[in-house]
Amino acid sequence: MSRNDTTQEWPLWEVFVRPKAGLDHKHCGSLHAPDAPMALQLAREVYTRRQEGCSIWVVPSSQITASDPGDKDMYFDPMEDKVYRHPTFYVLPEAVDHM
Amino acid sequence: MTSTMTSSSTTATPPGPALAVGLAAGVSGASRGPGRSVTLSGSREAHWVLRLGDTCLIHAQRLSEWCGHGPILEEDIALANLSLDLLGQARALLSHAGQLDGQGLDEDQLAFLRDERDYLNLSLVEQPLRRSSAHAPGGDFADVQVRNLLLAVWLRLHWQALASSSDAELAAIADPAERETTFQTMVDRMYEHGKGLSVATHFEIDDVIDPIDTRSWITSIISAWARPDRRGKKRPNIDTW
Amino acid sequence: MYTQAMDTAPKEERKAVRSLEEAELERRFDAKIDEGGFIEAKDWMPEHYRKTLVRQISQHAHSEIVGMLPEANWVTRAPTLKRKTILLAKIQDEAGHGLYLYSAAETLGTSRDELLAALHSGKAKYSSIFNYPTLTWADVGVIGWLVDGAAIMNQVPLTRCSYAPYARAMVRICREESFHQRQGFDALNVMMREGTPEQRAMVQDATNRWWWPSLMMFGPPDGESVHGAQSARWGIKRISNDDLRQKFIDATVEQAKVLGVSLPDPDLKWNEARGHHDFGPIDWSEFWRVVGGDGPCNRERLGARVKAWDDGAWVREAALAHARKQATAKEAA
Repeated sequence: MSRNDTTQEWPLWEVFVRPKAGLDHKHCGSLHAPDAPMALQLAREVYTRRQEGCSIWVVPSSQITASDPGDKDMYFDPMEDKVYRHPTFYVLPEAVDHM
Repeated sequence: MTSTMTSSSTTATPPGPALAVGLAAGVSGASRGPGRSVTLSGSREAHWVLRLGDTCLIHAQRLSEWCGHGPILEEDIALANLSLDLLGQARALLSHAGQLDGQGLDEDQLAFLRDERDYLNLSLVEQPLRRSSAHAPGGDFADVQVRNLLLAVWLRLHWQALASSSDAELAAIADPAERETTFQTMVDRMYEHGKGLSVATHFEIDDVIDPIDTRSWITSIISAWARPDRRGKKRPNIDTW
Repeated sequence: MYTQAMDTAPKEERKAVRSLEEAELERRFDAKIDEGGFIEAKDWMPEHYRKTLVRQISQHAHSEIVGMLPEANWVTRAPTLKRKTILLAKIQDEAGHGLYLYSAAETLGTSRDELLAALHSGKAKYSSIFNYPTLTWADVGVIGWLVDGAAIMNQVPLTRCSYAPYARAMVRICREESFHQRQGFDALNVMMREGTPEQRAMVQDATNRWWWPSLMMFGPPDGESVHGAQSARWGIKRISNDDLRQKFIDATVEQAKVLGVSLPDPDLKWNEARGHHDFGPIDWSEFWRVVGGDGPCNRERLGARVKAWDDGAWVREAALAHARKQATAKEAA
């Protein structure tokens, strides 16, 4: 996974939507956007097409710290605290970045 | 099997005949047969509403040509949203114009069956939104954004004025329409900020507006939109019924 | 349905020697599947399971995106404003479904750009049905009726797929899908009930052209689907190609009667003993030809997607350049 493949890609954002006041924000998926304002705008276009007046949170996927139950004790996962394994979540030094 | 898929027209055909191809090719929902044109009664009110409605309709038509061809999936969805909003506004306006016109014409008869000179849209929206051309083989997404921005500001001024219209139906249409137009202006503004900074590399926006005027055009449009007008001043005189 | 050409992909060699840990992980994984449990993004999974899902989910996503094109062909020419609105909303839904699916695929360690590169190079496939042309307005209705009908049949079982991000995307998609088939059927119903003889003939002609390709959407017969057995074992494929195809035929025969169109298969008839409709032989050579790239519209469809991507490069780059400039300015402040 060479760095060249992903530096021109719009970063990945996770989207959370609260459909109306009183409810929780719910994770509904991800999208690609160049920055936070665009991520919010596009989240509204893409994930709330049928709902007015909802609250949207967007977070760069790489910024989420995650803990998942599972087989952690059994094997080493370099992406242990990431929300999932995505090629853009770790930027490796150029010297070793030719996987 | 030979491919006979036909692609949608992106040349500057007058709006009436282009829309009416579908009518001839598909089902005639109108009580008059396909191909028989309708004429407006001459009502001033209807004329004014159609200027707005036809502009929304034709711009929606042009934007729908980009469906499936946008620079990134998220933007394809956004453009389709915009087109749907405008189509909804157009339908409401055309229906209302039909009532004001007084001959019992419905939205489809007005949309499909007028002679070309009876369409009252701004000529800006008829111009093709090219997906590529000889001078811009990479496509004219810049055209889309600049046109969206100019129209969104123009429409927003109209909707703001109409919100206090004595015509209750127009006022009712104005509220959600203004919200959507405001949103779209923000999206376009974002693209324009990005474009303005890389205009030296790309020369796209300069092909649309004279290069000397580019910066002042954008600045004046954005500041005209952004200026709040909330101190009880009288609005400029726009006829609202 | 979205695993076309996976049978022709190079076979993965299983590692001859596995560690004890890996064997235990796989045992736990199999047990979870057998209990009907879900696999989430960070759970251990066999590499082949992961690769299979990346392929299937991304090809499903590509199908949604490419599938926009035959319908977009008619959105500028829909016969009424209401039909135009409905069709544009449907196409937009399909774009959204593509997005949900790319999102799900990205949880498996790939990126959207990598998936698109595979599509644009021809390595990854999309459902063969979208390589056929939409010649008349009736085609739009028939696509809603038959093509979306077939897709729904496939999608409902996928809501119970073992890989949870895919299953969740499918739940969202199925919720939105309900109006797609209805709008197609309704458009055809109007044409059949209120249309002229020419318009009714148009519906029949469209049905004749789309029927067999719709049956091919479900993929090759079970006996020839080498891939199917493993996918079933892993809870990815819950119902076989042939079973889904049969379900679709049985449901659609009744719908065709309501519409008043005939289906272009002289061998189609109810078999009381089986409790299903018998049907005629499918021309699988056409299927493989189209999957292989030689259908009526393959080159146009892929060409349109590649062009949109290439033409849009400057937009994506400009937006990214602007974002980075803003970020740098912010840090400096």
